[in-house]
Amino acid sequence: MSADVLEGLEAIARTEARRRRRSIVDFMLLWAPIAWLVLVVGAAALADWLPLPSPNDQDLADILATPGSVHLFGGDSLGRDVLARTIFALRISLVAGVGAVAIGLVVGGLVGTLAGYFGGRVESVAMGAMDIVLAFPPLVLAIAITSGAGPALLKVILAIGVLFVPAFARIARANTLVFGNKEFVLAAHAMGMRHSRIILSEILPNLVPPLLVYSLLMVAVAIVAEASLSFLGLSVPPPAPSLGSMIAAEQRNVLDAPFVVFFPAAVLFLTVLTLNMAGEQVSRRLQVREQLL
Amino acid sequence: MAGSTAADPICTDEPLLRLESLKVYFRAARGLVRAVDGVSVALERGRTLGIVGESGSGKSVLARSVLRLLPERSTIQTGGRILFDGQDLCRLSESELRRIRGRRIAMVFQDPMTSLNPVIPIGRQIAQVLKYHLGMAPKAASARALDLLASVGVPSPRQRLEEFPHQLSGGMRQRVMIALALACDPELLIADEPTTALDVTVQAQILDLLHRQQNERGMTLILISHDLGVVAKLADRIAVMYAGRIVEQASAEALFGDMRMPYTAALFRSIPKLANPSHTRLEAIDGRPPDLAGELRGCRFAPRCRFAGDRCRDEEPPLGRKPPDHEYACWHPMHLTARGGNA
Repeated sequence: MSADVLEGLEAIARTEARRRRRSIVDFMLLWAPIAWLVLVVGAAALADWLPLPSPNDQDLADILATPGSVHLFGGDSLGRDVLARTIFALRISLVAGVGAVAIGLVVGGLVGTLAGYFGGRVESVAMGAMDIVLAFPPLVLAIAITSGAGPALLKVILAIGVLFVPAFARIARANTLVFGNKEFVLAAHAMGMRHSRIILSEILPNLVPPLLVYSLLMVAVAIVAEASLSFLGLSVPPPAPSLGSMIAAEQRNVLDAPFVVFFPAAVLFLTVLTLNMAGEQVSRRLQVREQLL
Repeated sequence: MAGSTAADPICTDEPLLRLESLKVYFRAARGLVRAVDGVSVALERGRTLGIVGESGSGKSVLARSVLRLLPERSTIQTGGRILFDGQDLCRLSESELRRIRGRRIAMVFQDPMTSLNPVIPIGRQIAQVLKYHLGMAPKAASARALDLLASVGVPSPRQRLEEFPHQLSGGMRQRVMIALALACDPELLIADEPTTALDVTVQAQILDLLHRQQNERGMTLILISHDLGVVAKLADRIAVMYAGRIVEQASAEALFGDMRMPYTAALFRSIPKLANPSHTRLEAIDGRPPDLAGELRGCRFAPRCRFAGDRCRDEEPPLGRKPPDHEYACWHPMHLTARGGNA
């Protein structure tokens, strides 16, 4: 009998341990990405005050210097500090990512919500316009926008933002259709509310969760897009550092000094990965909440 | 019973709501759906009209068309008038309608699970309406919201103000819906299947609540249900709808005392009775209502009616009138009681 009891206790201990392990994994999956993102955003925001060499200071002695205590990430082919350049480049990446998503979210969200709510002609005109943007080759559109006059970063943000508008519009429209048919919208209508009020106070709050999750994912996409554009030389002009242009500039030296390409690429990779993981976690948590509704 | 209080000539002369041969058609892929096809009813101030019928008989469409809530694009309203307190709601502009919706005519919907906004605390939902229609200051509005919640019997209303709809039970949500509808003291309340989504004990509570609020406020009520039993509890007058038409209409006593239309009788028989021994076969009405998009000939109930003859299938029965105000559309009216009458 005592053997049975012991066995039972052991089984309990085993499941307990498994549960603890799983909860540690869950914990890390949520907080490790957040920690990395906080680090990245913090470094980018505080770059001016960090004890870093200037990203544009060249030093002949440091050309392709190996990573070490002086240059944590090494030096590039012009003897500039790769860590400083990476951090300043992140600043460009994050501003471009958030800015582009802001344009997509505001314009696309507005167009999609109006299309979904009013339907009919409003919908066909709005969604037709979105289809035209979608049908445009994205790279051609980006080149067209970036070749205009004006500050480079602003043009890049605008180019990526315009490309994002249709996707945001579709998500906003689909969710508006779902919520627009719920009885609480009919009830608000029956209470004598105006369309503008119904959209703002009945539908919009319900669009926040899906658009929030999508925005997080799209920030990652926008960062990659900015890096790609700058790889092609369409983003901020040199010597300003940008992750894509840093990688492009050091391509030739990849065999001699792989770290010059590796560090910016790794930072880009980790940032995009953690943004996706955070988006995934947020959407999972919101789904749990939605099931309660 | 309530008849003696309505001796006031003004009340009897001018009904609060009068629908005159109202027709509401929908444009659908399979053709024109005649959801409401020539309905006339009148409802005096302070009274209760019950509208009964199966799903798809046009009750909800009728209710929504009173407030002009139907999607404009697919709805055609051909002819007919909706007279509310003397003015034709069909002729009002959207902004004039907004002043009536919620303020003079309010509505309670069937599903309390989806008729409250899931992401806004209920107190704010009520206060919003008060601010919007009555121009109340935020403080006064939330104080009034508290009173309203208390008056519809929501326990510990002060805490509930801050809660979200998903934190409340179905019955509580329906109480909140009623509080919301009553917020601006409407003259007419349209309750569209208010108890259908609730379990039976809660149903009775909600009906009691509606009845009490109606008496306290002198409100006029339209109660829509597929359950003749629910309507019987509250209604002064009952209209039975079938396939977009009113097939029988009378005061509650006259209707239950002297049912003429076989459909009404069939609905009545389909209410399960407690007095029956257990395992008694439930009385269902065979078949289903006709497709309202199709060609409709003769009496619409004829295919399901056990008394139907050739005339029923060919010729539509007019809405006949038996004094004092019992109307029914049937070629072969029934005589369930011994009271005299001609066929």
